[in-house]
Amino acid sequence: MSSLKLTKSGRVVSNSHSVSESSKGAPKGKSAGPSQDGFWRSQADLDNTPEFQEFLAREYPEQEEQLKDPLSRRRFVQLMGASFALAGVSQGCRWEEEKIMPLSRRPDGYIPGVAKKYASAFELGGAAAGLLVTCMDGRPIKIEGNPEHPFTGGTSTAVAQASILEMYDPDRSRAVRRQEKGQGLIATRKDALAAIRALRDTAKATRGAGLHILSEATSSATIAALRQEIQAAMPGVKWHEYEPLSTDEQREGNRMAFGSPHRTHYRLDRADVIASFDAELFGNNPAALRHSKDFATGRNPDTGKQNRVYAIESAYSLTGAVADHRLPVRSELIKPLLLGLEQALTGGDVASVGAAILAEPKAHTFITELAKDLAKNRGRGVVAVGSQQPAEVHAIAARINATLRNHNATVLYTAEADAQRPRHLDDLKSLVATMQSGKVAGLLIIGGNPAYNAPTDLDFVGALAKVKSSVHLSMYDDETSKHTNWHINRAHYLEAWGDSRSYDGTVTLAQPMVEPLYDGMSAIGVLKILAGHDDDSNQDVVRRTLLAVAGSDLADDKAWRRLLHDGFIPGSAPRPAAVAPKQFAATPLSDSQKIGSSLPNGKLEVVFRESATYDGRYANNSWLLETPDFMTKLTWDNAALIGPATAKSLGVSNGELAKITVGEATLKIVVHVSPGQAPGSIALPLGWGRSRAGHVGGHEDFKVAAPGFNTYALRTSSGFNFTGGATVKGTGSNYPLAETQDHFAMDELGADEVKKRVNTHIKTGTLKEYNDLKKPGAKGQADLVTRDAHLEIEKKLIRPIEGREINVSLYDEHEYKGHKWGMSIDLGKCTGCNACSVACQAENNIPVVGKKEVMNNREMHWIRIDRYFKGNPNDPEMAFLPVHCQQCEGAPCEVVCPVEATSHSKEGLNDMTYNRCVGTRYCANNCPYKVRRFNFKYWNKDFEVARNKVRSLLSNPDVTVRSRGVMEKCTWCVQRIERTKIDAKNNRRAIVDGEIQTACQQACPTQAIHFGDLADKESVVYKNQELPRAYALLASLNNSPRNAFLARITNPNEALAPAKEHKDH
Amino acid sequence: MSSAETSAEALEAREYFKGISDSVCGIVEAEKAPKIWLPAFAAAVGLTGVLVVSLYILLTEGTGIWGNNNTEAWAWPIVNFVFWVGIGHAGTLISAVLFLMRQKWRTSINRAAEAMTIFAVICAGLFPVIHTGRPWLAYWLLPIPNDMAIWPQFRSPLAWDVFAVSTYMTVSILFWYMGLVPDFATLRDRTKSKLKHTIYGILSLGWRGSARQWHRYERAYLIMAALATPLVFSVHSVVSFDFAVGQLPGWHTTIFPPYFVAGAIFSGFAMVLTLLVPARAIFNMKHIITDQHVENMCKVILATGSMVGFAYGTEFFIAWYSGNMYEGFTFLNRMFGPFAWAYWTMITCNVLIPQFFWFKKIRTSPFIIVGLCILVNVGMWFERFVIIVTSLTRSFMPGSWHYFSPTMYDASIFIGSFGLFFTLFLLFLRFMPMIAMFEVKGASPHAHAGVKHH
Repeated sequence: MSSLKLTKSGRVVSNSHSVSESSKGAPKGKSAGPSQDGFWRSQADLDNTPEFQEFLAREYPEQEEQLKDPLSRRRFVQLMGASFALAGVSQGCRWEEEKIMPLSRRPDGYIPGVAKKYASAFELGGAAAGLLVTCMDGRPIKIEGNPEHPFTGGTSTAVAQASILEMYDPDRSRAVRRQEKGQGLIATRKDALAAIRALRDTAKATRGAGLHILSEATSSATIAALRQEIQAAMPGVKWHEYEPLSTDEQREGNRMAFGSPHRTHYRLDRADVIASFDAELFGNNPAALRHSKDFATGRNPDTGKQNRVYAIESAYSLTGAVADHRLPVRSELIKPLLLGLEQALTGGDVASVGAAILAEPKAHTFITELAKDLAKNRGRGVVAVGSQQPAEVHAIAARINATLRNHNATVLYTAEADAQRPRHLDDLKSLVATMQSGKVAGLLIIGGNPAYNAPTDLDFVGALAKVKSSVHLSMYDDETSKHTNWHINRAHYLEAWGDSRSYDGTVTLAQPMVEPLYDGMSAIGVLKILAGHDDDSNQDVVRRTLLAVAGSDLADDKAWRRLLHDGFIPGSAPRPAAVAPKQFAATPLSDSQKIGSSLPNGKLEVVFRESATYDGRYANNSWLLETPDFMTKLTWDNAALIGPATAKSLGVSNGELAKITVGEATLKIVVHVSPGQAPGSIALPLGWGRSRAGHVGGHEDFKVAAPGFNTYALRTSSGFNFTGGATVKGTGSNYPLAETQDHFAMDELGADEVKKRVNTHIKTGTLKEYNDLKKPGAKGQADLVTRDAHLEIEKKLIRPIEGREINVSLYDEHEYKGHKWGMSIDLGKCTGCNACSVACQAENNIPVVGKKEVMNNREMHWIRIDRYFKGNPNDPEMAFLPVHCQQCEGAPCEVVCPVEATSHSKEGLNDMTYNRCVGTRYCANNCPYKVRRFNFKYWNKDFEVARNKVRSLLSNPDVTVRSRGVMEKCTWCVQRIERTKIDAKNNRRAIVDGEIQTACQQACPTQAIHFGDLADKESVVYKNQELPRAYALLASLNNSPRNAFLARITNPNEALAPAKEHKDH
Repeated sequence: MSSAETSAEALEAREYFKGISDSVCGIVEAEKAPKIWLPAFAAAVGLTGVLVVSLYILLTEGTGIWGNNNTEAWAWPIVNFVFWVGIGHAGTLISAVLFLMRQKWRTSINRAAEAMTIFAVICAGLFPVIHTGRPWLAYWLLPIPNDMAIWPQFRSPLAWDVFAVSTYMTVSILFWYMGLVPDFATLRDRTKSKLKHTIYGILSLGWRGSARQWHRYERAYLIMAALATPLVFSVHSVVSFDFAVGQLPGWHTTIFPPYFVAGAIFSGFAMVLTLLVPARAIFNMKHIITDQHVENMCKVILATGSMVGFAYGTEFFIAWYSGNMYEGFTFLNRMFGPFAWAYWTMITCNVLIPQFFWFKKIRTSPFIIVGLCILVNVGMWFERFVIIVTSLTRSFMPGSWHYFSPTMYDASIFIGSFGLFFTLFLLFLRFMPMIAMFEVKGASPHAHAGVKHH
């Protein structure tokens, strides 16, 4: 103990203050002390000895209160989980004596090792997704969509899947910190409460004037109620909201079109023609899950319902990837094109718009044909506009949708509740102006990271210095926290009660799964204190608010329990509003909007867009950083995306560092030459190059270089979403990029071969061809053929000896008495969104390997999405092929394993016996699909570092954590299959089709993946495999995969479709 | 024929035999090794040290220190394995096959060639073991009875490999040791040191050189040769199955067994020449390992090199003739793809270089021979690299194509294996009779001096 020289509450640490970081000097081998990780290990830790009290006060001032409390049973169960996982963790003293205490009686409803699922909600940018969170022994381990949620349903996005990793992020802030004379001082939670109360007390004197609250976008009814409470008591309190990726332009556009702000809802399931103008319907969109589901409903060539998607966009979006027709144009040209469309629809002269782009043949035909198609499908079309487009463009689209009688049919509007709220950007501008004037006495920042992501011209950090007292509630001690007087560590959404609305307005409850790991406070808690409440507990206030919204009595326990179970309030979404379009004056086209598709250097357009880190908030989330971008297949970096022709004219090459100058600012960033990127337009993904994200996303204090480049450096309030006048200058030096797939710039020999193979690996065909194929006796033509014909074609690829049957096996056929698992993947529905990949990572304890190892081609994802291009690189067609283990019937991997570590199960799976594997890797060589992943190093080594121990709590106990030297691969979530089988057997029932869902299938927003029993002729998967468009990948190899791909059926407009080459295979 | 004549011949023969014993045993008996031996040995031990350090890092860090990855799950270590197994072919071929074919010229080179075989197989055997992800469990490939009743999978060529290589190793050692017994006895009888007398005494297994012993010895040697002969062909055939049984285009071909065996003999002879041409100069053995021997070996290299070249051609022809799209591409990719440099290195070294041995002038110039032989082995290493790595880099799924780059450890372990090889070989040269004395004597005309053809 003598080595501890710490002051009572003001221990000096240089801005880093995670407990484990700062307690290196702790004594070794002292059995009475708690572990150095801020976790409990033994009951002895909790003994109320005077030494311990003293130790507590010195070592864990922020937890003193809580530690002295008698232990609640609930807390104890949670701690037990942690204790087991952490047993044996200590600094240096291996044989430290520890005591653990068993539960003398099992708590109600708790069965060790049995997973429980709770409803919760994930909020991003003010829109919620309903979740079901799987908890194992008191720790959440997996996130899934809440199938009962009326809007978001049972699927989930990659970001939502990965958000659970954030909770266990060891880099999360673990303490309150106050800033004094440029130094961060660890403070207690008590101090934090006092600081918030001080804000309140100061503001009270002026009836709130001078107190400002800057919040990230939230749709929480509880927060709204607390805000009202605060503003009722102190009317001068100003509330601001800011999101760097905002959907406010749409809101303002509807204000222009209808007089008051409205939210636009697209009902893609009802649409036959979807025209996306720079809109990302399936990716970064608050309604992405719903859009995906509806899109898939409308894209079912087997029932005959097949929508048609047109995408007009600058950078590839998921929408563009699945579109039947795509027109790459600069984002600023969306407005003239939309005006042209309006002219074409109303019988006017397209040329009257006065934009050169409309005179270009491709764009002209595209717009006129689109107009014809939309006109043909009145009331069954959608004209969607992307959130980065200015308000005016949204207003024009609303006008077009009205003209097309799409209103109330495929395009719905709901009134925004907070009609008075200014645009996020304007709101932030006015706040910064007030801050600069010195009139802000107190500033409470809830979430967000404006010091990092505010437009550079606002100089948020500079303005912050003029605020007398600033408090930042944040999960990370980030760029903003560095400059505020107080940093309060925030609880993760899985650690606190809360609520938010999904995009349609359904009130969704967020339940905590564990007590805060690092004792963080929630936004609701902080606002409660600010409102004058005594404590920051948040269940009561959430309960009060939500029961009020639901119209139930506060005392109605049944209603509350129902809410806890369901996770949402049914019918709480507002009804669509009747809107009447009104006249508005459109601004004239700018000079650059009149220029056609090519632009000279110096006038180039830059477009800011979301990335794997969303807006930068997930920059420390290794799952997301290592997930390859759907288009570039780039991991661990962002890059300036430049089209091939533009790159050539600029003289920059792929992987070259280039200087991009916009106005005053210049950014050095690596160039990624991206097929399909619009000429003259450069896409800049936001959210990288953080200086205070953590050990993964870069941190100045830990001397960890940030991955990627901070593109916010070029973002100003006048060029917030996109702007022109950019200059690109190559530097000639190269930067290493970790791409998981070779990009198109390959030697000619290889590129030609890829072209040849893509057509056999990814079957595509038009709806017309497919309908022909469905006729009896048809074999199909071109790329779309029946399964048997496909096999014939495949056989020709390997040209067997004339008259000799190739599909004969040396070995006996497998016999199946029970189940016979199979899968189908519909390529027509795959948007490439990566949700499956991240869900698989979470379910199967798949490690992250880091940029260097991705460059070494050792990424571990069990399901990868291969992305191929066809045609002209400047305007290509893109296709996805999600590949995981195909569970071959005659698996080539099985026969070559010398120790039989991979073998065929009685139900047709290719099992992996990890503890039998010696790692010869022969199986990986012999797998034609290349789905096997080898642990070349001990990828989980990081778990053993004391500060990262918390990460191991996330592991799924049903899946082995693989050691070094072992081969692994997809097993179709065999643990889920077994769990269901056990349950069915115990209850003497049959397994229902669709009951077992693999993690990838469950997450897939378009439900392109189906899993089931092929022995059951009624199962969806059996029926899918019998479809004429079903085919096996590399069928000629006679591996008989148990997964069937369903050919991608497109629905091109014949007037636009290029003459299809009919190749003879 | 007069008895005087006979005794004169016998005298001459005795002198000749003594000369052979003196020059061969002299190396072992000499107080000091030739000047060049010690620095060479130091260098070899140094390289072995590199191997040991690299292996330590390998065992602590994992196979991730190499360039292997998910696309190229096998790379340098397996290339090295096949390379060393190939080299380990010449010895048994010279000893057994040439013995059965009554090629008497083999006698002066078979001992060293056999030793080289064993050392090469030791180096080869190292790689499959350290190549596994968990080498401490590599023994699971052996059919060891266990209470779980788990056996290796006999369908896997890797399991066949274990048997093929270990059998070859065992038989090679037995054969080699058997040949050494009479020579150990010679050393025992000549030495004046008590310690050496004891050691060589034990090693010579009580050899007295009686007619009965010689009779049984010759029978046993013949049987061993007959047993070893099929192994020469089986080992590399089985090694080639590792690839031929696989589904991968570029591996999946029926030509592999003969093609691999020819390649192995080719590289083995090149290695024998690389080692023996300098050795005979250093240890003054030119009268035993004559120019005729060297020339014969050059001819074998020329013949096998041409066979290998023919195999390359056949492979290509079949890739085109079969019409198999995947295989066709693999071969085009070898020639013109990103690894074309490796392919053309292979063609140059393996097909073009041996053609120089058509010229007697070259077959008799020791420096050129050694240079060409080294190039042949460079080519043979690249042959395995081309087969293994190039095929893997671009297999069926273009999405998983990748360019392979080795790491420092790939190189250090490969170079280190040469250290191990040379350490063992230099120890052999210094402490064991590098030439089968009794066989050379037996094969010399003097041995038949008394038996004139009438």
